This record gives sequence, structure tokens and C-alpha cells, in this order.
Amino acid sequence: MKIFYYPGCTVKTKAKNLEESAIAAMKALDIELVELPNWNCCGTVFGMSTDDLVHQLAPLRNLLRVKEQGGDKVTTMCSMCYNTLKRANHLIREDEEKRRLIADFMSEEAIRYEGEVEVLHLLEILRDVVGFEALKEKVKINLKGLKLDPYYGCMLTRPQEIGIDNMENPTILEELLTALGAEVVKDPMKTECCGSYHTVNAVEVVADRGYEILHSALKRGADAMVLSCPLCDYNLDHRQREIAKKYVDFSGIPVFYFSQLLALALGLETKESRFDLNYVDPLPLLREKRVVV
Amino acid sequence: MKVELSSEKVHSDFVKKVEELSGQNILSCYQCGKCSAGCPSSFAMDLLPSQIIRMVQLGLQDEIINSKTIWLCASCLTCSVRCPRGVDLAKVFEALRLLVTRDKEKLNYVEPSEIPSEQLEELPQIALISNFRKFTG
Amino acid sequence: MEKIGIFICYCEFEIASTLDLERILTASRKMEGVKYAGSYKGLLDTSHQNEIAESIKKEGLDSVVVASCLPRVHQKLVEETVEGAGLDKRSLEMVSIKPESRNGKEARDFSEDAIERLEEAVKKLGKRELKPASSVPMVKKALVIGGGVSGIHAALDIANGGYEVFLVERTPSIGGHMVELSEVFPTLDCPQCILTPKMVQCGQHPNIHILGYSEVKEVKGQVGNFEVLVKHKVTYIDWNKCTGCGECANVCPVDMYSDFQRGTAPQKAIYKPFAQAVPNKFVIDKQGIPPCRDACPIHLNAQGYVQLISEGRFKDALTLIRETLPFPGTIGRICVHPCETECKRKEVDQPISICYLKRAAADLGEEDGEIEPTIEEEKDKKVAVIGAGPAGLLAAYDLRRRGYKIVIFDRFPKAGGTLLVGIPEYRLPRVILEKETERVRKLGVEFRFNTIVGKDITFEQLQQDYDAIFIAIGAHVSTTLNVEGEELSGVIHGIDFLRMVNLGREVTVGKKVAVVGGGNAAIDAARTVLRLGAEEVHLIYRRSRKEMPANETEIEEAENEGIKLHLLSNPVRLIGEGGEITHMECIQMKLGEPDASGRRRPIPIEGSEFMMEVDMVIPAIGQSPNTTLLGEKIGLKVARNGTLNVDPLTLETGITGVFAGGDAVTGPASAVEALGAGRKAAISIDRYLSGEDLRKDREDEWVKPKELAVTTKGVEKKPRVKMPTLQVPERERSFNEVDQGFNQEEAISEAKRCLSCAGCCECMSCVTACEAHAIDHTLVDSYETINVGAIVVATGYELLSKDLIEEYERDPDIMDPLQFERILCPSGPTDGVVVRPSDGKTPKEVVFIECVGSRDPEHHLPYCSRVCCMYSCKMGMLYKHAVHDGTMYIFYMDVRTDGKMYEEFYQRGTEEDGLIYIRGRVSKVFRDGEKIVVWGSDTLTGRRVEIAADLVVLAMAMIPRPDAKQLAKTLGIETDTFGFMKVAHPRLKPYESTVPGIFLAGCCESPKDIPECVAQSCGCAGKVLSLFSQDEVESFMSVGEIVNL
Repeated sequence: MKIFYYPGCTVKTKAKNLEESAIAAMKALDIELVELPNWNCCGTVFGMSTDDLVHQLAPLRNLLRVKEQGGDKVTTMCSMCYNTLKRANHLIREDEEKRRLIADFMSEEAIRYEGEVEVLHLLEILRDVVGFEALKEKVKINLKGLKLDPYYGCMLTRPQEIGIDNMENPTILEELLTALGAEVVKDPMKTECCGSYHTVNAVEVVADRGYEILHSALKRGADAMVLSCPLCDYNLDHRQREIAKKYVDFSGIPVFYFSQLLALALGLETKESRFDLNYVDPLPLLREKRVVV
Repeated sequence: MKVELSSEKVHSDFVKKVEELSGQNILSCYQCGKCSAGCPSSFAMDLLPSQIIRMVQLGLQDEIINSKTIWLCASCLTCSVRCPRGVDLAKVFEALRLLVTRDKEKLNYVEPSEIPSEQLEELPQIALISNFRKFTG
Repeated sequence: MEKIGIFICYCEFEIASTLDLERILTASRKMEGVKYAGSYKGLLDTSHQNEIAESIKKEGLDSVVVASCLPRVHQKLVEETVEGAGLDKRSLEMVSIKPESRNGKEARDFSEDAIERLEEAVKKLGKRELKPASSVPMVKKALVIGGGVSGIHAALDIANGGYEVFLVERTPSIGGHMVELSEVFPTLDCPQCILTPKMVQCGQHPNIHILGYSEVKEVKGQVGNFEVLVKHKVTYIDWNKCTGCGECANVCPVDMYSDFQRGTAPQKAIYKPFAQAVPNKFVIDKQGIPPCRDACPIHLNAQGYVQLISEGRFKDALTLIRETLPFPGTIGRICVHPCETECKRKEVDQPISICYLKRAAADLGEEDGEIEPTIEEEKDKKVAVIGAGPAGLLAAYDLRRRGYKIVIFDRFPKAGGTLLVGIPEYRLPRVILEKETERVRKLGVEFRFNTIVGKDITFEQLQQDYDAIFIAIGAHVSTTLNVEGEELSGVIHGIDFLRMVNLGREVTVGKKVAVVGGGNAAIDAARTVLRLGAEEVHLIYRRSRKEMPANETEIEEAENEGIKLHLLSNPVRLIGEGGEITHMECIQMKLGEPDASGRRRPIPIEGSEFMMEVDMVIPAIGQSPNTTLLGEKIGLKVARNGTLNVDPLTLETGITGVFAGGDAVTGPASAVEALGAGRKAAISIDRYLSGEDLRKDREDEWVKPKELAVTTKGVEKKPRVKMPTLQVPERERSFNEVDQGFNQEEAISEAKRCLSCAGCCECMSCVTACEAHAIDHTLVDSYETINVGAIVVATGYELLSKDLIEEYERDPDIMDPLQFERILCPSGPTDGVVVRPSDGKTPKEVVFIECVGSRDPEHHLPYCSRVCCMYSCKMGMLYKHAVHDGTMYIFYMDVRTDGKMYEEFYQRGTEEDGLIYIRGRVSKVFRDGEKIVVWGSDTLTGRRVEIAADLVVLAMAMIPRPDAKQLAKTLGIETDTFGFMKVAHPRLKPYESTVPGIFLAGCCESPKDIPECVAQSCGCAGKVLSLFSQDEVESFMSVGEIVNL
């Protein structure tokens, strides 16, 4: 099957490991992710003020593109894009006046968009279209022996009306990783914020947040973190440099995108998972657990 | 530490504007502190999120603007989803930031031109764009 | 009624300011039947009342609608006016047009609302026909629903007033939540001490009938004469005989969740909720039939013996098993255990090892002196059983116990059938089989071995000599492979091979052996031939491992022993040289669409043939009965697959007096299914020989039980105890038993995993222990209708479930206040010693969180639960009295201590007992190692607060009982959106519900503390006594109905 896919800016540059592993993994599951033609930046964050209609244009224009192409669904693997697109969509679905205003404003487009497209995160496709039971059958390399700590961050589950799972106790990543054969660690920090955009001008805050989250994982016996968002990944993987500087007892821990492990488990070649782009090298761990030779 | 209250202060344009931009009823907040209790950035803040709301309720505009709190908010939405009175705090903080960044007389909280180029190259766009959206006018 | 007048009362403040009177009056005048409509400022004063009377006369009105802000309060006055004007007061309808407060909701068109309500009233009057007014005599008896502190006080006051009271209580004892508490505020009295005297008074009062363990099902009638249907839930105990001694609970093996202890301690399936229970009687909590027992073909009481084993009572377990099954040692070693497939524990981790536990009971439960089964009075009828396998043996056993004379004929030298000749010794040692089949002989059954019916003795002879015959000859003919070369030397079929080995005959075994098949017979043959000296043993099966019918443990053990599995392969021909087999050609298979059996059809892959070097081939792909002698030849119908045809309900064949069952009828199946057939045949033969109808009620022999609600969520995972086995090297060439069996500890540990699905498991230990002979497991629910003149509802409260608060984890050390009360209570499960549930250690840092679920309009309940501020202070004080060096933190928003002496109590808590109050709510509570971490705020200092606590108590919101809404519906009374029952008017009528004659007392009406409950219930009693001062009451529901908001 084919489904439109919205990449967003970061997966094309700084998070190629997320994109490439995801596309390859989905292909192995007979799902082709067709990149949306003419997509534009989603704006990253949902414009929350009541008068901020201009910032809704960016995400909604992407959904308009999907409709234009004849699609009624679009998927994305970046948590922030997912949140922004879905919240903007939800806004115009609920508010008739804003829907009309924005559609009118985009009158130069060939068609009118009024909330017809469904926004799905790639994890939802795995859960609802492929199904975790069916996925289990396709696993060629069992991730047995790996103790993984799934990390959701903020954008996948909040607010509840757009969340892909229960916002206080999501289990979708746990279910995915268990289907792939891994053991999952129970961690109360899994929905606590990584510091997000403070990584630009308040790195200390991010270092403190990162330490709290990663230390919790290490304390609970995790071998690695698993997440879905390029910003969380930057803060929890790349920023380990800053965390180690501030916290001398911090030993470091590999961080995976869920799609990298998915690709691996489906038996694709290791290079398809693009582990070379991870900051903390995960290969020693994978070799130790005999997941990779 | 004295404050003089009057109807001008508690029903000021500032208060009205915050309510309008955020779409929230500020007087719904009964100061329970649950938002502050769960806020991941509060450890670095001088005033707690619940205290900021209190100040909006009393119209204490200057104290809010002079604090670091609204600029330490990460828009993680934990406060909004847990508030028992249903006040979407993240939206209130967004409104407060907008009142500063939209004011031509004030400077941006983050000045993009001052970020060193190596940093601009290293940081993922997602971080830069979201940061500028929140902290610049 | 066709001449309706509408009179609207208004005042500037209430109605005129929000309603458009002109519009309402215009609309009213247009309504059908309305002759007059007018509005009056201040309708309730005399001049305007006169105006109503005048208008009625002037316009010739026959009915009247009066609209005001508080119709219930105004009703009586207006009735008098209307009657004064010559109308029957039932020609009046009162309407409320008071605009509801906005409360943040969208503005409604209040005028439109008012018009709608007036229209409704007009319609009602239009249809109303007045019957002559009559009255009913007042039944001066009262019903009190709920036996908590409120119900008890109401009952006592009414009874002391001289009237009979029925006190219906849902649980086995009265007392309610109050007796669960440790101490009560503000006096810190012991609630058991202050309430139990009242409870005893209720129990002994000549005017009070306590209907315990009962519920109100239906209510009909009106004030003065209610007809109430009460259901007495079955207790399985005759309360007239029960002395409350508790000997039964001492022997009950089943632990269940206790409502009274709220999870801090279990109670037995037979229980009395607490020591001072009134009535002082026991009840049995029996939910139904557990899935294990239902799945078993002989409905063996699996839960029963598993629970007995969990208490180490192996002998009792064995006795229980032997009531149904005389062969536990045998069946416990080889059963295919359909019970385990249905076991609910599998939803948590793995099913209970019910089969292994049965074996454990047989191995460990035998003590000196076997229990002799009873035999009924001897009968002079004789029955012949052909086949000493499980079907034949059990049929013989059952029939012998009924007194018949039985002879079993069998072609083999010993008893057992397939158990003897099919199953290898390393699975079922011969001594066990012999010992158990000997039980059948000891009953007086005669065995004639080495006898083939149809050859050594004719079937006709049997028909002459015996009054009935049961054919249970099994399925001992092996299915051929149907390939070229099958006749070569070295090819010997599985069951033939096993039979020869088991009967001790010489068998030549090859070095490279191939076994074809995937069932238990194939695995048995493979593991046997390995033990006899084969060097390589290969198992060839045409489907994949998932489809193999053999027991999973058997397949695993075969692999452990070195047998190689070749899945998705099938033989195509056997190749030999000089008449001896040398090779087997096979082809690889793939799985296609499912076939008739539901399994995926194997399809050969073209060109994938491969050769295997073999010197022995053992086909074991299927079996069928040998019907050459006992089949069509003697007049029996035989199906295409070789099995005998019988009536499935009675097991009759076409020949009168001849029955058949087991593998001979079903084809190869399990031993336990054969046992089921044997038992069924015995019932049929008994009826046949007694001249009874064979078919009557046979379908009801076992009614499929209803599905049980079993909690599997939150059960801690604990895998099955592993069966110890002989190490692989020790098994080489030996037929010693591989499975060693559980020892006592292992059996008890495994049995403790049982979830007690059915509650009481009917092990009947209680029946034996009860000296008063009060227990009867066959009792059923009963019903009773009572007539009362007034009803007081006092059903109390429940606490909102902690599970609904998702930001606080589920953890044994995060409790609700009633659980903490049980721990603090000196007569509680820990005798008042404060320990935490997870590890029994003393908690030194305790956090109490207020307002959980309360004052939370966004996610849970908007209201304040009223009692939590006081009880948390109380529990803090009690905690500090018990743990002097402990610290209690209380996270609050406001401290609401408004009753008499309450503020002083709170002051004591802080000044004398050092309670630390922190003003702020808590965002998250989670476990971190040994601690429970609490994230809260101190809004007064402006700091976020983190506490690493040992124990956390959540002050959960107070809500009505879950069945309150249903009860309200039954009574016809109104509830609010939360399910609390509504009073007629919050200020002026705080006792009456919205139905006359039904009064509300206690927390079923709204959250309140004990002094307020008592006050309200005594007030209700007063209302009832005042009602009973009348000897009759008008017989209509209400004088004028009120159209509600």
C-alpha cells in the first residue's frame, strides 16, 4: 500500500537516520511512503494564541497538498510535525469561523481545504494498519536481550485530543518493542519534557533535563533509549556531551529512533538503519547483545 | 513588597489582552499549584508558573515581564493537561510572550543574529525554528 | 380539561429581569385549551390569590397552571386557593420557570424554556381525567435501605417510636463504612465501640427485622402503601442454624478480596465480614463454575483441589479428586489438560499446572489406608464391558458403585487399553497404572484378560449372558502411509511398535530411524525407539510446528533428547534392497489455505524431493478402531472413517442394550475424553437397566456456566513452577520416568498462583467442619414482598477509584484512606501496627494528598468531598501516635474544618502532633526503588516540592455507591448528575426525596460526616413518625405534578 508522507525539515538534514530507516522498514512491510510533493515547513510548533491564524497556514497548506494529490491520509515520523499538523487540523475542524477564514485566505490554491485529511504518526500506522501481532511474525532478528526504555516526550501524547495514546500512560512504543522481542523498562520519566527549544539559548536547562531523564533510565537498568522526535533525539543523544561535562558520574547511553530498531529487526542490512548518524555509537551494544554481528 | 490594587489594575487592558489572546478565563485559576508541581523547567525559574498566573489575576504586569519564567517555559503542555480548573496555562504563557515580542519597543528575547554560526550549523532546524517562533517577534 | 388558566408569578429580581413575560403570555394564549393567561407581581400574597379565585369563576376555568420560582414551596398555598374556588386540587399544575444559574454554560433562551414547560403542563391537564378522590390506609411499617450509621439510627428511632422496621442491608452485616474506621473525629472515639452497641440493639429490637445480604429489587405503590420486592441473596448457609463460630472459615482453602479490609487482608470464600457482625452469621461467596472445571470432560473440580494443595492439604485434595476420578496418578501424568487451555491465569502469564498438581495430589496425598468408595445396594443385573481402557474402566467403576455386577473383557494381558499399550513407561510407569486399575478390581469388578470378543467368545454369547454391553475397544489400527514400499521389512507402524514394546515383546530396532507423524503417538514412538538403541531418530511431519497435535512439552523433550524434527516434509516412497528398507524419499511442503480440520493444507513443492538414508521407518499418522469383529458383522453401524455410530446424547448403538464410547466412537482422542464417555455410558446403562427414560434431562447434565468476571489486571507476574525432569544423559536407554513430579513446596507454590475464579470452589471442607450442619451448597436466591408506608434510603458512599487518577501510579504503597484506616485500626489486619503493604516496613515519611478527584471540574468531580480535611488530620494524628519519629506531610488547597470543635482539632494536629501542612496540589506520584516520589507545590513559599515518601495516601473523592443510580430508578426518585439522591428542596425540605414517602439519610444524599449523618437520619425518622400519625393518605402520586427543570 502507499501512503503520503510528510517529512518536515529536520529529517532531511539532521535526522536522516530517522527518515531512511523508517522508509526502508516500511518498505519491508509493503508500505510505500510517498513523499508529499511541494511540501513546506510545518512551523514546528502549534501557534497557540487565539488570533494567530497566520501560523496555521503552514501546516494546513501541507494538508491541502495531500488533498490536492487525492489523498485522505498523511503520515509523519517526526513527533513535532505530527503535533503541529494535527493540532492545526483539529483547530479548523472544531472552529467553523477559523476554518472559513483560513480557507478563504488560501483562495489562490487550486482547491479548498476544510479538514478532510487524517494526520497519522508512523507509530499509529504500525499499530493500526500493520498490527503488532502481524509485525511479530515478520521479525527476522529478534531483539531479545536488549532492555529498552521507550521515551515519548511531549508532542506525541499531549494534548489528549490529538495524542496517539493515553497521555499519562502511553504504551504504544512498549508494544512495538515487545513485538520486536525486546524487554522494556518501566520508567516514570517517559513523558517528561527534554527541554525542547531551550537547546538554542539555555543549554544548561537541557543538560539538567537530559540528565534527569537518562539517569532515570540507567538507574532502571536500561541498555538504550528509544524515541521518535528529532529534537528529543538532539537533546538526549547529541547533548550527552554537555550532560557529561556537568555531571561527572554520567556514563552515557545509546539513543535509538524506533525506526532504526524496526529496520534492524525486520532483517534489513545494518547500514539501512544509519547508526553512523547517532551521536553515541550504538553498535558496541548491539554487538554485545548479538543483535548485530 | 507592597502592591496597591484597584479595579484599574485588576481589570486592566493588560489582563483583558492576556485573556483575549489566550482564550482563557484567568479568574478560573484557584492557585492550587498543580501546574508548578509538574513543570519540568520550574527548577530554573524565579517565579513559579502558578505565581505568574496569580500576577496576571492581580494585573501585576511589570513583575511578570521582569521575571525569567515565561522564557523558560518549554511548551510541554504538562500544566495545561493537568489543571483541575481547565486553564490552558501554556496558552496564557504564549499570550504573555506575545505581548512582549509583538511590542516594537521591546527586544526579542533571543536575537537570531547573535547566535554563532557554528551553533547555527550544528543545531537541527527544528530547534531553531521553534525557538524563534516562541522568542522572537 | 378544556378551560385552562395560566397564572404567572413574577418579581423584578427573579423572573422579570430574565424572562420576556409578554412573549410567554402571547405564546400561552395560543396553546390548545388555554382560555386565560395572566401575570402577577408577587402572586403569593392574599390579594393576588383572590384574583386567581376570581378569574377561575369569571372565566369558568376548569383547571389551572401556576408558574413560579419555587413551586414545591408554593404548592400548598395555591392548592388551598384553587379548592376555595371550587375546583379539585388535582386540576392544578405547578410549573417552575426559574432560570437555572448559568454556571459557565452557554446562555439559553430562558423564555423559550419557560414556554416549553408551560406547554407540557397544559398538555398534561388536557389529558387528565379526574377519578373520584380516594385514600388508602397507612401501613405503619417502615423500610430502611442500608444498614450503616445512618440506616441504624433511622431504624432505631422509628422502632422506638413503636413501629415495625425492615432494615435491608446489601452485605452480610450492618455497620457500613463506619466500622472499617480506626478512630472518628473530633473525639477520637473507636467507631466499633460506639456503633456496635447500636448494632446489637438493632439485632435484638423486637420491632426491627434485619434483612441481611439482601437487596431491594422492585418498588410499587405510593406513600402509605409501598409494595417492595426484596431479594435475599443466597448465602448457602441456613442462618437459623449458623452460630457464627467460624470453624468453616478455618478449613476454607480459598482466599478472596475482602470489601471490608479493602485489599489490606484477604477473607475466605466462606466469611463473616468482621468479628462483631450483626447478624452474627457467615455467607459463602460463590461466583459460579470456574472455566477449568467446565472444560474438563468429566468436570473434575480442578479449582477445588488446586486450592486445597495451595494450603498443603494433599490428602484432602486427593479425596476430592477421587470423588470424581479414581485414576489421578495416571491422568495426572498423561492428560492433554483442556482445563489449562481455559485457565484464566494465562491472561496474566501462564496457566496453572493443573495436570501436574493432580499428579502431586496422587503422589503426595496417599496416606495409610486408602479411602474405600461406597457401593450402593447390590443389584442382580450384569453388564459386560469390552475394553479395559479409560472408557471401559470408568464405566465399570461407576456401574459397580451402583451395585451392578461387571465383567470387563480385554484382549491384552493387563488393564489400561491405550494407557497400557500406547503410552511408554517413561511417561507412565506401569506400577502407577497397575495400582490405579487395581482399584477397579478391588470394587468387585471381574477382569477377563487375553480374551477377544468375537473370537474367544462370541458377541451373541455376551448378549445372552449379560443385561447390557458397553463397547470401548479403542482405536488400535494404524493408518497406512499409502506409498510405494510400505511392505518392506523395517517398516513397522507406530502403535504396533509401541504395543510390542509395552507388552515386553522383542523388537528389532534400526540405527537410522525415521518416524512419520506429528501427534503424541509419533513422539512416543520416536522417544521409545531412541531408548531402544537407535543412533539417529528423525521425525518427519508435513505441516509446521505450530500445527503439530502433540503436547508442546513432549515435542520439547523430544528435541532435548536429540530427535531431529523435519517439518514441512512428507514421504513419497520407501526404497529397499533385498526386501529391507534402505532409503525414504521425501518431498518438502508448504502451507496453503486451511482444510476441513481448520489447519492449513500442506502442498508439496514441485521438484523439492530429497532422500533420507534409513533402516527403520515408523509411520504414526493416524489410528482407527478395529471393527472387523465388532462392527457390521454384529449389526452395528460403522462410519466411513471406521468409527462406530452412536446416539451422541445417550451413547446407544442401533442395538438395544448395546452402548459404545471412547476412541471406538470418536476416533483417536484423549484419555480424559474417553473417561467422559465411560461416565456417560454408565448413566445410560443404569437408566436402561432401571427402566428409566434414557434421554430425559440428559442435556441438562452439564449446563454451560456463565462467563465469570475475573480480575487479571494488576496481578503480579509469576511464571509456572518448572517440572523437574531427569537429565538427558540419565535418560539414555532407560525407561525411567522422565518427569519427576513436584515436591510439596513446588506444588504449594504452583497452586498459590490460582486466581480462585469461582470464589468458593465447592471443595465441601466447610460442610464437614460445620457442627451445626448449617451449610447447604444447593440453596438458591429467594424473594419476599413486604408492605411499608414509608421508606428511608441510607445507602451510603463509595470512594472514587484511585485507578482513575492516571498521573499517580498504581502501587501497593499508594493507598486510599479506607485502606489506611484498616492499617491504623487496632483491630485491623496489622493490629494497628503501621506497616506498608509492599515490604512490611514501618513508613517514616508519609504523604497525604487532599482533594484527589474532588474540586477538579476538568477531569473528575467539581465538588468538595467535605470530610477529607478532617479525616486526614485525624489519620495524621493517629499515625504520629503510632510512629513517634515519623513525619506526615499533608498537601492541601484549603483546610475545611468548619464543624464544632473541628478547628481546634486541626490546631492540635499541627501544634501537638507536628503535622506538616503544605499548600499545593500534587502533579505526579511514582515509584523510585524503595521510595514513592511525590511532586507537589508549596504555593505559600513559591517553591516546587519533591518528597521521597515511604507511603502515600490519596484522599479520594466521595461518590455514591455504584448501585445507587439503579436503586434511585427503582424507587422513582431523582438523582443529580453525580448519582447523589436529590432532596425536594435543599433549604426547606432536606429530608424528603422527590417522591413523597421516601426519605434520604446520610451520604447517599451528599458527602457529609458522621454527626451530620446521624442528624439527618434522626430527622428522617421524625418525618416517618409524623407521617404515621395519619391513619390514611390520599391515593394519588401527588396533588399537582411539578414540571421540572
